[in-house]
Amino acid sequence: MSRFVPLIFRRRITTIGGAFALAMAVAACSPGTTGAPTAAANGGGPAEAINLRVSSATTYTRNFNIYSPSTDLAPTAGLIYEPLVRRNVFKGGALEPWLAESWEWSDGDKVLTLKLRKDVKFADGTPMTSKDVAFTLNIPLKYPELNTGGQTYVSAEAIDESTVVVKWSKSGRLDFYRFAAGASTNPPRIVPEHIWKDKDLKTWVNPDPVGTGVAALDQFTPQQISYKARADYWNGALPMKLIKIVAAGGDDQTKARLLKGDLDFATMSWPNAQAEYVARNPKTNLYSTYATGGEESLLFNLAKAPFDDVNVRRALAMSLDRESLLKLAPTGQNPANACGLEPEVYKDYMAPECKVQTSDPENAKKALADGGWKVEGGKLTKDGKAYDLSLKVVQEYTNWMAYGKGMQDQWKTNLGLDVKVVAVPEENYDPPLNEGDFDMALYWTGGSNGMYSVFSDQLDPATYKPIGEDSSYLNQGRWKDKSTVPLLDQLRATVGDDAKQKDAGQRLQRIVLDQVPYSPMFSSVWFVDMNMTRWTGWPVPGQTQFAPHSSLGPDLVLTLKNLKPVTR
Amino acid sequence: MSSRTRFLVRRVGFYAATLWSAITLNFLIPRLMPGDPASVIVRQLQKQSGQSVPPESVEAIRKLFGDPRANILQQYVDYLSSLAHGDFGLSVSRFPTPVSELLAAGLPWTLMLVGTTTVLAFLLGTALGIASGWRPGSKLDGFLSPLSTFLTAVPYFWVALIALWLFGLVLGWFPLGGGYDPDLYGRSGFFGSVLYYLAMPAATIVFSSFGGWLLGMRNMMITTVSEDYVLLGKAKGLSGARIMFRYAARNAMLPTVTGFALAIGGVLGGALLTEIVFAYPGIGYLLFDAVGKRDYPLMQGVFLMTTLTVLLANLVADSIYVLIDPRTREGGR
Repeated sequence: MSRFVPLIFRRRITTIGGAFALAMAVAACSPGTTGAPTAAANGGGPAEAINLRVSSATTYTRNFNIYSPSTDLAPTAGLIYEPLVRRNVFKGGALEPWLAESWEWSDGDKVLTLKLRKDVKFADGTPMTSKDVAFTLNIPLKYPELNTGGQTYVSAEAIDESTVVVKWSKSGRLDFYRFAAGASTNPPRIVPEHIWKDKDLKTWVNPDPVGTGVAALDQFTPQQISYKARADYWNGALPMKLIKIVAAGGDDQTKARLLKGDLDFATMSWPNAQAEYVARNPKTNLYSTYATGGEESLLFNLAKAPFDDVNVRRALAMSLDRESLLKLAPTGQNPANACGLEPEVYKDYMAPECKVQTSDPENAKKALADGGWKVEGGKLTKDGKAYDLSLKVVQEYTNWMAYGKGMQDQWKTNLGLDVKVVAVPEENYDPPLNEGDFDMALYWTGGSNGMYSVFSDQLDPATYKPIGEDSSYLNQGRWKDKSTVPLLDQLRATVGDDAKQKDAGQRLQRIVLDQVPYSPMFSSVWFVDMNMTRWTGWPVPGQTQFAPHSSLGPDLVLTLKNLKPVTR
Repeated sequence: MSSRTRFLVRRVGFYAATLWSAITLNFLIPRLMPGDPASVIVRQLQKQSGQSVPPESVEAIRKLFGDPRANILQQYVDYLSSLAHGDFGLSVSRFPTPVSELLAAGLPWTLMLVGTTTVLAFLLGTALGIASGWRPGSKLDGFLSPLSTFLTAVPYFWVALIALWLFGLVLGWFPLGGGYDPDLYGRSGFFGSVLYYLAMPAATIVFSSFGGWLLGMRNMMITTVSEDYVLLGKAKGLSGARIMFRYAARNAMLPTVTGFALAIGGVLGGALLTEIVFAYPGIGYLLFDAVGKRDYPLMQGVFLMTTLTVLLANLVADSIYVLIDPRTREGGR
């Protein structure tokens, strides 16, 4: 029997994955491997329940306190507690009404007046009022250490039955996105004051959740939480009676269950899904990716030679063929747009010259020559000084490891450069990046929280920290060029004025394109795995206004609402 | 002081020292691992949401999950004093659930899975070992010995994955994972579903571990069979079965019994790979989870429990040995 051996732990697990992939490949050759789907609850008729897998847990803890300082809450997938606003990731992250019917800004965008829907009821029958909303919004103010959603407002109070006023000390418009599910870690989702008011939110576990959402708790077991759909939901009833959140375990487990039809839906990246999943039964098996608006980028350490020279950055960025890199680990991602915004999310704001960076070894060599650089013996040299280059990737991400090797090969082939690929364990990855201890690294940039969030994240000189100081997950590339300051100011000052936003946004995109402070590599996406044996009508990328992902709250509700049971 | 007391005192002293070093290592090792809970959490959030985490969030998360650079000596003292009170602390990742509660929830599953399979594999392996060691080179031995050599050489996770793929996915005879059918939770068929879900993981463990017992027992058996007292028994005309079990096997069992006691101690350390492959809700998976999330209190709870059972099993093995083999008592003088 194998006992626990910490040092070889991770390697073993990876081997399991590899072995399973092999087993799956074998399975692909034998007939009848899809297996019979488990019978619907009522025996052969249309399905009444849907099985979702939303995390890699094998057991759940009964903690429905959504503000609890815990990473392993019982998953509610947005079915119980709901946010005030919905973020439309297909419209540049624009906020749309959800529990709040409308809102207005006043006093230099410092005051937000929210008008609430009047037809919303909690699952116990009590109507939701402005008092519940004000109570919820005051949670991060009362417990600053529970403010994991990063809220910046300073007060929130109920004015009348259905109006709430939220105040900021400076303009709050740019931080308002943090009210939306999926946009921040812990957005305010409205809880009933009459149940929550006397509890110590740091230790209370809210065993019987009551929310405004589309479902209510039916049964909790450590391996599965089942929710029953509410008939009196304000936004229309669901076509299914039960929604079961299954603790299916790790990726390999989940793959097997999806193939078997045990699960209807999972959120998990599946490299080679086309061959291993979809091709096995194209009628029922569906694998989709949805752009998050961000990308996996090649970060340069701008505070360090030779990366302080734009010619070097251009050459390194241009000599990579992103398309062929992705083939090394096909997860369904696409090459990223070179300007730092993804057109699926920001199509109305894109500068026309923004395209995917194509491989261009000739111009890459020219850029090096322009900067006075030479490649000698695999090293980048200038004025008699030679530079060793290295690239950091996360060891546990098999796709990043593959991309890293591929980038190394391409730099060698196209520029003759030797770049060392340094594989860093996941838990050790961030601190050196935050402290500027790297040459180049793969990292996430951007997102769908609007252009200001995207560009201020990496390009705000105000967040510049010298090498050795902790940059707290901002500007790890150490950008200190002041050219972005007026543009970020313009984005900040002109929220709501689409023309001015677009103007500033496009000029920032051009800075990313010309100056290459970082080089976007691959679009970052939400991965969705679906099995349509029991339910059809899943969204199709490019033709949908909501992304079927459990971290997006309202979007999952909209997805479920539009499903249809398969009649057999 | 009689020799017996002196022996006892020495043993107890030895175990006390081992216990202290186990507890101290248990305290130190997780802290020597790279990374801290806060950065793991920020990373997970980033990966899940595909968005950058606002600075205010990072600050709150760091506030919540503590500073890894707090005074280590003070931490050690606190740790010892809470242990003395039987307090394992609160889990970080599943805050505010006490670690003891999580351990209690996982323990029955692991005990059931690894406990039954260890006993089964021991009984099966030893019985077959006796049979094949009794007449080395016989047809039975010629079949069983190479088979068990082969089985012990096959990596366990491979066996488990093949079983999962064949019986779970292709044939669909067994469930793909979990400890029970959640739809039957709290209903009449629940116990049946527990056994049903137990079958495949248990079978894989027995399948890959009985060979070890078999080989050990067989080899001891071969040595014992050629002893003079066995020859004497044969000369006296005792029945074959009596010689085989009372004369040969009983003596050959000695090291196996120790091994068994140690294996029982290892039960809690559990079947980490089994629990991962079959998503079984036991202690092994809990540990796997805790390591991934840098949940120090949970990790320490699991480690401590494992160490304590191993120590206890050692003590039992020591004592059994002293009881069944008088020679060890002589050595203790």
